[in-house]
Amino acid sequence: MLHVDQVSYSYHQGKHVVQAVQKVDLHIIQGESIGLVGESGCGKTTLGRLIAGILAPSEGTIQFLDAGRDIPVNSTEYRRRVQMVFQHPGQSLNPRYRVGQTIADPLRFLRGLPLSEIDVAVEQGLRRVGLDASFSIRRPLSLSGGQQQRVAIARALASGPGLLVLDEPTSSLDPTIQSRILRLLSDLQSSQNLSYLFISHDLSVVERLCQRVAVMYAGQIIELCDKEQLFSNPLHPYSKSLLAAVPKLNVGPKKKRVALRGEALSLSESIKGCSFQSRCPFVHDRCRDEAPKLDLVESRRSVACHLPYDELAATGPRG
Amino acid sequence: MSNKVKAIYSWIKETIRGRHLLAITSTSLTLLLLVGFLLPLFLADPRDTNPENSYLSPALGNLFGTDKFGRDVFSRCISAIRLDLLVGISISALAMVIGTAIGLISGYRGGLIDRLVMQFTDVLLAFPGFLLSLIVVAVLGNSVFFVMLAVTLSFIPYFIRLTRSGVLVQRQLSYVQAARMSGNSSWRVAFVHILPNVVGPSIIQATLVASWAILSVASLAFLGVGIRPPTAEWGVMVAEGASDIIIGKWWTSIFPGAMVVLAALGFHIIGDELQASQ
Amino acid sequence: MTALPNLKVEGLGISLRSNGVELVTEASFEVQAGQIMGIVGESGSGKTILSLALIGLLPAALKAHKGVITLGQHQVRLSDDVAHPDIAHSLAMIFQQPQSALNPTMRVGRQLARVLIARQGATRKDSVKESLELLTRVGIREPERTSRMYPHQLSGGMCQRVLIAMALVCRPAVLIADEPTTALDVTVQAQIFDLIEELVAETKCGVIFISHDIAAVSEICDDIVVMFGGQTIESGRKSEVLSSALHPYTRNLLRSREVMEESTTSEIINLDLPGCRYANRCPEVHDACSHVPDWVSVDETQGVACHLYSKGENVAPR
Repeated sequence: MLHVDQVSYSYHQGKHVVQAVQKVDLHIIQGESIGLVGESGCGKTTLGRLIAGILAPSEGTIQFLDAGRDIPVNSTEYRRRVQMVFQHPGQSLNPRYRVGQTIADPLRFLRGLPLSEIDVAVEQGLRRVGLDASFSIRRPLSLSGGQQQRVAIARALASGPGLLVLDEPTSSLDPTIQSRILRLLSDLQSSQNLSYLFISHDLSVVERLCQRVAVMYAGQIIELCDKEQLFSNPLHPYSKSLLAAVPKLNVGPKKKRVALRGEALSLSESIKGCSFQSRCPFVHDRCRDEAPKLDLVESRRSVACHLPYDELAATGPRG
Repeated sequence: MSNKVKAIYSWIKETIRGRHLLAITSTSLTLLLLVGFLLPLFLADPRDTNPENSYLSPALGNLFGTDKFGRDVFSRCISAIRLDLLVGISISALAMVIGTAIGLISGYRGGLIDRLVMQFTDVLLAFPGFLLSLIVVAVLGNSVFFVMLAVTLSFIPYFIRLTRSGVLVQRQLSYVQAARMSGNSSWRVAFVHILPNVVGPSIIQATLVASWAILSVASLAFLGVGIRPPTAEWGVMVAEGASDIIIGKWWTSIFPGAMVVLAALGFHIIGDELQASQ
Repeated sequence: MTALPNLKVEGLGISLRSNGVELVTEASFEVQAGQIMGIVGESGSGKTILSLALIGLLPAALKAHKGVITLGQHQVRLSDDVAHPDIAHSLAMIFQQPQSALNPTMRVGRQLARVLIARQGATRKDSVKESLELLTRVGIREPERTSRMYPHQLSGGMCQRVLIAMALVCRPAVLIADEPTTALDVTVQAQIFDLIEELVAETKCGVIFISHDIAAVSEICDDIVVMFGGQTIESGRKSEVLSSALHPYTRNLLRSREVMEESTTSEIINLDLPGCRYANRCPEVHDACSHVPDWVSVDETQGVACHLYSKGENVAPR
């Protein structure tokens, strides 16, 4: 359904060129949800924005395939099918606009509804996210964080999209509200037959809503597989460190921790070879010369690493 | 009836709460404007010359005295209110509308347009407003219209800068991107979504600009640029009456001068108070 | 190396100056030297203002109205409402947002050097040398290069290391870490945890690790104190508290790893409720709960404030 082919994005920051996303390939099928995980600066938000059509890729193409037609990324058709929910709900709603107006915009401009039908459609949209019609005249600042995010979700759903890009939608919310919003998203996933591209740094949230997971590091996808595969046996050395670092309730004596050493590579420095070489416990000469490509190593599983599959699988989850 | 009155009364009280200076000044200026429109109907024609009554000191018959030509200074001052205040307000409003629109487009589009606009603004700002007005007048001709144009031009850069910086901040916020994603065209995003959120500081700036505009127009008139005698205008009156001070006839220049100060001060205080209460 | 003393806090209470509403009613615990003690609680439980009171940084609107702090041979009665530098100067603190805890207009090396000059009276030359040593000690690999940077040029993890270096200048008996890794990536959190554990092993200082993330606390802490509604409601060795939790709140927290649904601000405002503050959410609530429960020491290390365990009844956890 959604095809991302060799997409790169770079921009200038003073003298440096920042390579936020490097030659990423990704395919999302209808009804399937993918989690995009990684730490600060890995490029996941940028990739999300590229897919949502907010940014234009410097290289590569993004296309939405529907009934045999290729819909290019900067068309109204695309906007109707791919929508986005942002991280800070208070910021993503125009403070001067009432809730009803915010939801009416996509109904008018993307669905082309005549003005007479807008009010009914807005009410429908509000009910779908668990808000009642009286919210239509409220202003965003009078709403709680959770309510604001519901409005943002209603706006995203208004055009009837097939894919929703969610950029850390619950990270800035209170923990109790987080679980409620996640439940809403989970219900909508099945009732509206939606696909999600769920960007998050929180693996537990991704586990709840997604079937597949893509792990990003330094602008590239370094592992892509089903979630069960990733959580039970991560292959890429970075994935191993990432999963090992997530705190788990430990009742017994302290376990020896093998923390990842060093700092993440700054995206403005481009180096030869694998971007993980300075921190990888398994680094060898080939890693410094040649950047590994994302290759299929198992059914439904790709890893970008020079180490052979058997070695990666053998070293176990904690690396 | 009394319920509605009570409601209005309490609304006024609430709006005035803590902002007494603002309340006083706005009321005074409004009164001044009203006076400027209504009172001339009852007063002597400001252009009436009455040579026998020249240089009468301020007295009950002529509150501000009479000038060289026997014209009543008071009625001239009052009839000038309309001219000066309207000139000040319209220059300010025009500069705001044009400057805000340019700043909005420039900040939103960025790139080459933005750079060109910034260069243009820098050039305009390099000239002291006064000098700019003189140059425009020298080139285009000495008339009220051109002078107003020149003064407006000298204030436009402030609004461009102000709006542009507001737009640069708003542009980063996700509601702007969300508006694009909802299908709004670039124009709608700029004018319907962003503009209401950046226009606040411009409105405040407009009140300050109004006060500067009044001063500018009066000063230029004093120099003989733009509004000229025999039109009753405060700056003109100060110019004409300036030489009278030496012969001891202070009222022909001091009163109009005081009106300029009062009007300009009024707008300035309003602008200040609005800024402080932000 | 002389052993560092334990920090003992007894009956600490903090209230608003204006109306006396108590935000912390009764907090008691002991931080052993060389041990990492975790304080777990949801937002509004009082864990942050508790730490501010210890180090003497309570905002002016609050005051500590009761309690005794003992550190070695120093003891201070908090109700006297005076500064207690003898104890406060042996404590150091690091906060949640590392980048905003540093002066954005000054290079980090200079900030560190200034702490050295202020606290140790070092000369300028010595302070530069020592700041480089401290940066190396907290795991920064290129100290000269890093010390010339401004905070915004450094990552969150690096900033937090710089702040830990600053904390070490005071040679603290206890380091208070208030949600130090909440704003950081999870791999960086693991690195900071390593660093804290190394420093504890090296200097034998105590650490108070404040967090709402019980999993993180379980990874790094030796002892745990649970706070709710301004009160320490349970404490003990980590293994005891986590495997055989006594207080209903603790059990609920561990059972459902999700935070409870009713946690809203309206709960926190209800501070003048008489009796146990957990009463209206507690599944085991009964008549006795209309009075504030006393602390019961279940054994040498474990204790709880709950009517289920008072007067020696029901000591065995259900």
